[in-house]
Amino acid sequence: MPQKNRWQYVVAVFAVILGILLMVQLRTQQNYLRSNAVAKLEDIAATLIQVNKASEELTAEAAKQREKLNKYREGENIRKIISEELAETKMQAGYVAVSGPGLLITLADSEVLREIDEDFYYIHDWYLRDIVNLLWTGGAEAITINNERLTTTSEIFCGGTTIFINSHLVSPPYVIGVIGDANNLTTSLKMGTIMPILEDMQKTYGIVFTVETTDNVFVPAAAARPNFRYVKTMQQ
Amino acid sequence: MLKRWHLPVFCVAIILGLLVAFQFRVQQQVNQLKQTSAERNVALLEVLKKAELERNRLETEIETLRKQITTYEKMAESQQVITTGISAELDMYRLLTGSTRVEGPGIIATLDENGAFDKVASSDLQDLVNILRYAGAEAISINGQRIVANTAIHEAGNNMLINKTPVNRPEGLAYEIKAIGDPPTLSQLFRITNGQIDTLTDLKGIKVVVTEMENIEIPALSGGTNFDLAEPVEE
Repeated sequence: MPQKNRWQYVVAVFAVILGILLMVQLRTQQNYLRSNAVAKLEDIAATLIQVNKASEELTAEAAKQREKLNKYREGENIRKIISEELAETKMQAGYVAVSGPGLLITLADSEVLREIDEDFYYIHDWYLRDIVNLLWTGGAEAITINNERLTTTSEIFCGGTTIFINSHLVSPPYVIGVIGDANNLTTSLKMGTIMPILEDMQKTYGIVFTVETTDNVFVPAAAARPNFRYVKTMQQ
Repeated sequence: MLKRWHLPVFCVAIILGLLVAFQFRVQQQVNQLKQTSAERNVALLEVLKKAELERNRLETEIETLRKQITTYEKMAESQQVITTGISAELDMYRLLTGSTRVEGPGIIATLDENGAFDKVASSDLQDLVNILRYAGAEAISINGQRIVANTAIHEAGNNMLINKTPVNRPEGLAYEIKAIGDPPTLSQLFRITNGQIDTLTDLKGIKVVVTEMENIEIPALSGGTNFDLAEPVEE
């Protein structure tokens, strides 16, 4: 081939390659921008949903407090007002047994012969914590695990091979009873990562994991009174 | 006079010209997309800002109402309309529901994400709260959010939501965890238990500082639980 023609073909090939590269680069940039913008939008939207939920609850709480204050102002029987307040706060704190519709979630260690990966055959404390966190997110009103009421001070703590809740030893099977709207609770569970993990472990290692919707869950009152030695309400 | 090489070069020029024109068009679309997203973000952020202002307003209102109610309760106690025992019991339950601002000795732990390889995850915070509970913490807060029984901690993208509230990160710090209880016990168990903190510092590069304090203040939580489905049972 004559020298002149050769470099022209080389230039042509280069030009085509350059064009293709430019197109590919643009496509990538476009995708990047789109996903980035959408992600930020989803962040804000997700946060907004939660803030609105919080505002709804606060509006209800403000109305409750206003009602209470009015009772005092209108000269209702103070002893009655305070005993009602006491009963309600006791309930809020988890010291009243309750029942209602919700879910029963059961988790238990695998009965299957252990080989390697011993760890995966047991139910770990963080599975329970993860599930509980998702249940509260899903609007749970009360939660119990093996008859232990979960309160503000309740730990779900693994000391070696045993799990402690409210300083009591709990053993498998772990039955989580939760009162709340079953749909909201289940949706919330599915939004976390724990469910597919547990379902996978069930298939692979034989751990027990079931979620059951039920009409009547009994959640007992917290058993022990807290012994607060350090914290004090600030005087206004 | 047409040379042999004019044709292929002419074709390549056409192709390249088309590609460049196409590139301009795509770039135009990308710019349009950028602008639309930006506008949408701004609009949504405005809505979020308004919603947060409303929430703050409600929290202030609730705090004021509670103060006024407390005045009546104190009066009732001093006039012996109710016993001190009842008053103490009410106070105890309120310490659990988090409806009062509290103080006492304890620890302050800061988790600093500056320069870290990875962020603090919601599960990290849940695990730390669990350790504090195990250590006997009597009141806990994370970035001003009181932790109570039904407190959920979860991530919405880059936001960390606690009690359905995006927590504000003070400049330079990611999280400030306060806990009231026995300072040396809280401090030791927080730093050592389960190697949780070591994992944060070694694997994620997060700087953790734990300080024992003689007195810290932990804010109240404004909301409460609505028992819509749960009914009390006589035990």
